[in-house]
Amino acid sequence: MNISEIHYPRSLQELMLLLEREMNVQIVAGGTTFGYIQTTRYLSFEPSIMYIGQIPELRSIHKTERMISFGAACTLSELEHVYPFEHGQARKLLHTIGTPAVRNIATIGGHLMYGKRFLSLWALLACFDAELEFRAFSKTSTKNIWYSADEMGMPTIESGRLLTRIRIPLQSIDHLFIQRIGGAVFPDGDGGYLVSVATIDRRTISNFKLVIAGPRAYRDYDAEQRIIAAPHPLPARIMQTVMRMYAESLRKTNFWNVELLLPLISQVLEALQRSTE
Amino acid sequence: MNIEFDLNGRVQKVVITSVERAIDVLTRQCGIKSLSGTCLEGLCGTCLILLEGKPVYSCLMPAFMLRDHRVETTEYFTKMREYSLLNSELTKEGSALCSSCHNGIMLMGMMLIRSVPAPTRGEILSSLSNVHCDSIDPDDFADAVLKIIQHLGIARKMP
Repeated sequence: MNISEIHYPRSLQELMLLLEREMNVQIVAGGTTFGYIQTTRYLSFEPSIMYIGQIPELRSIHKTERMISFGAACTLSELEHVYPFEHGQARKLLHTIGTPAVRNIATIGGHLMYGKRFLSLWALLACFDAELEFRAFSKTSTKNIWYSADEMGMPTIESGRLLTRIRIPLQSIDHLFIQRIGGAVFPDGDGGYLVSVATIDRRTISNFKLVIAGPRAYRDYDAEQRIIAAPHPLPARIMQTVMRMYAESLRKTNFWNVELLLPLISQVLEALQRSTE
Repeated sequence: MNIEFDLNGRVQKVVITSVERAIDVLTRQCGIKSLSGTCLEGLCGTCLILLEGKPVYSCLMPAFMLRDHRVETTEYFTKMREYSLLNSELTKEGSALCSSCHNGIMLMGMMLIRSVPAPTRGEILSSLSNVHCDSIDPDDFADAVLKIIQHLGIARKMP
């Protein structure tokens, strides 16, 4: 039983100073990485714990005309009534995570930085082009959530950087398709989610994304680009081309069950056809 | 290390280490008897507490996360009128609460009655998903909570 030193930084600045000084640090806000996983009576952490759940900058939610931004230590419950989770289907997806008592403590930062696999909300946030803001001692960087998956579609987490905020550009949602696939998602099952989002503007598809995330993440940019700027409803030849592109790229990954996913992607396109502006 | 938090309306000072769970500190150092929590996975729901007015599983929380927070357990509510009303209403509805789920059910009921201005049936049923017990009929629970809220509403309006 190893006792760790516990720090309670009250600001982001204080946290950065502590992270610069301390070695072998474990950031704790909710409990995603240990709450359900460590089932022994006594918990075990790295030698130094930073409890970031009371840093105001990491708990705030801001909304502008173009974007919503929430701190990494916001709980999943706190996100229930904000974009994009105010949308019925997205909220249903959020509600699949534990019970209200779990969502009152689990944070969005812990959810996205889980590291072992992609958890339930990752595919949805990738479809919404979420940007992740990271802070290191001397600099701040922002990257699209998609870049937290490597070339093989595995999750990557760079050490020495702290996820501070998640920013999502606001967009009109004319098509949202969410489908659970496989078995369990947490803590390390083979399940995941297929999510697709589209915007239709004056009978043209102005935005389309389709992301599958579970143990790995998958997305076909070329197929998406074939759909974007196409007329709505999609002409039959574009539908066939896109289905062929998805079939080829899924086979190339050598990971996903093509026979299971192709019919689902076909359902996505059919749902897109039925969508209205 | 020493930490302070507000427990059932009073400042509580405890000595904790990083390895302890909130449930252990609350039961061993603070004398809270309503919590049992045997699963340590948030599955049984017998360790429910209110943290800043919201239900959380104290078995999933490290004790150090209690610092500077407001915590309420079932003990906080037991002397309140609403508590005895809810208890008798649930008994009337035929839902004899088993000892293991009693804490969670009563805590959820009191949270809804005291903190949520006008809970919907859906919200009441959703709160029950925090308590994993088959011995209570969710509809009986929702009926009891709604009846008390209605009763209290009438009582408040009367001179």
